[in-house]
Amino acid sequence: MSPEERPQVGEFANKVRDDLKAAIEKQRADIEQEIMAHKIASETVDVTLPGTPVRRGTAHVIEQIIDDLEDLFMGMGYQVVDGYEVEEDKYNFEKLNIPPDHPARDMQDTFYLGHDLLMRTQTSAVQARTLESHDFSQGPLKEISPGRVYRRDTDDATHSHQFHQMEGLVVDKHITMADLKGTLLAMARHVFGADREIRLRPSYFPFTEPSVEVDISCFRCGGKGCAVCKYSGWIEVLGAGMVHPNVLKSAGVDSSVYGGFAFGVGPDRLAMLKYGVDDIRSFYTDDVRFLHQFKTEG
Amino acid sequence: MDVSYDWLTELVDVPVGPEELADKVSRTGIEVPSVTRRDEGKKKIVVGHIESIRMHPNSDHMHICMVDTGEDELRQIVCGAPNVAAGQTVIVALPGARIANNQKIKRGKLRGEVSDGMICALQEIGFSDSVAPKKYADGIYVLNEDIKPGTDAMAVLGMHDAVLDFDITPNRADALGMRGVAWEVGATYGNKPHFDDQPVVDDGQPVGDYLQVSVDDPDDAPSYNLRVVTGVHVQDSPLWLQRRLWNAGIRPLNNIVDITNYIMLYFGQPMHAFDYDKVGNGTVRVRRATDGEALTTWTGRTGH
Repeated sequence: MSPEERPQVGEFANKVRDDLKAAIEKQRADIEQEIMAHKIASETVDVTLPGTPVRRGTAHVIEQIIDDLEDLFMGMGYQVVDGYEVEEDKYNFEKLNIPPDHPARDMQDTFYLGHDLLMRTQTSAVQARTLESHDFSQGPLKEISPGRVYRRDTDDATHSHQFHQMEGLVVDKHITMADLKGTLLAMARHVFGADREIRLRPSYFPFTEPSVEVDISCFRCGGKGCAVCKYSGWIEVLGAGMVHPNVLKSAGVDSSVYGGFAFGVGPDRLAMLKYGVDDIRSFYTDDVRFLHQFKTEG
Repeated sequence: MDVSYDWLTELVDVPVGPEELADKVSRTGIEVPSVTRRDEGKKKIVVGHIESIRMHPNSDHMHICMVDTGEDELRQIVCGAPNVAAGQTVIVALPGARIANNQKIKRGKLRGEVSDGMICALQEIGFSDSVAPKKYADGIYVLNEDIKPGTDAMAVLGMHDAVLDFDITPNRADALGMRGVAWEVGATYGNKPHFDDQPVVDDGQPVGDYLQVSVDDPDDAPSYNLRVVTGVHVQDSPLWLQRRLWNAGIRPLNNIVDITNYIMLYFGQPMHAFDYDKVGNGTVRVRRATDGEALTTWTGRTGH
């Protein structure tokens, strides 16, 4: 190239180079922008959506019922006492005024594990033990003993070979049936509502005398009559009575000085009534779909 | 304990009906969870008299029966039971009747022959297998009394009676007999029961002439009593006694067994009747079983 042409060509070459460079840069920028835009679009998160749910467990409905009753009674100064599910015959029967050949044993079919050991059929066995060990110089005996019990029953909608009971026991120097009645009324109202009434019917348990069965005015219809109370206005819920002197005697307690009352309630039955569950076996099949319906508050 | 309302009202004045009585007794100490009426939901069941029978032309076991049901004309009824015969007094469900399991009876044809009703077994009108006399288990029921055709069969069979289920707890063995129940119900309403007990007529012969009795341990059997009855002819009990038994949930067997069960229902005292000819050398010994001893009950079951 001639010296006169060089500056013009050079200038043109530079311009071409600059244009190309700019075009390449622009293209690169466009591509990078598109990459960025694509990346943003694919990684977009809707921050208004709720977070991943945390699965919470819930207490078993029977546990909830027992906890609620424990709260009630602890508030009245009772202790909660635990016991053995595998129990000795003498605490489950003999010391509760049910001797070996007594027909009262027919009222409960028992799982025996040998001659003297059995699966407890009632939580009153715990009461027999507490009566023996309680030191009355320290004050009255006021206890509830919730827990699982076992009976040799064919399972159906209202019977299970294993179920729960909660028994209460109060022993002191001047306990009367009026005390029992008041306690039962408080419990009925706490579980089924403040406008419930109770009525007592004479009955029979070997370890109480007199014995009563307790009906609660129907919580569904208020006593007018409905399917829940079988049109009678009343629902049978509890058994109770004044502690039999033989039971006190077996525990080494002087029945001429001390007396008391005892009551027993079935949390399974309470749950069935309160929540409209019609098959007791539902509580024992470990079906989480069923159990999850009874969420605790809070 | 199944308490017959009709029988109870013969023993004590009951001022209320069965349902109210059940409620009241439940409130005062013995739970009565149910009142059953065997006639519930049933109608148009009468007593019939079979005048004649002949074989069904189209069946190898059915009979065509001409039955007097107290109307102007005899009814033709086809019956497949093996024990049906002329001269029997039977239970007839008329067309329009309702029997057990809500079954309705219609006039119809059985293998080409008209059947204007149904001759029934006790189970077909609601009696349970555990109570219906075994003699008629495989066929129709035959009444052992002459009853006017057309009479309400349910009344004859005691089905209009209300049966109260007394749930007796171990401390109320006093109410395990109708007399005890009468005292309980009487006390509930302030009425004294009235028992029409007949005095025993004894011919004076000492039991010792017939039998010896020994009791090994008086603690096991503080009191053991025997009486000998002669001139016994074993047969079906009269209908009034069978009614009392099956309304109390006990199957009638024969007059002797039925009487022992009847006494148990009435007094709450279990009894047993021995066939005198079968009591070896005239001695009854009351004792405990020895170790491993085998026992055969009178129903034929063996145990150790």
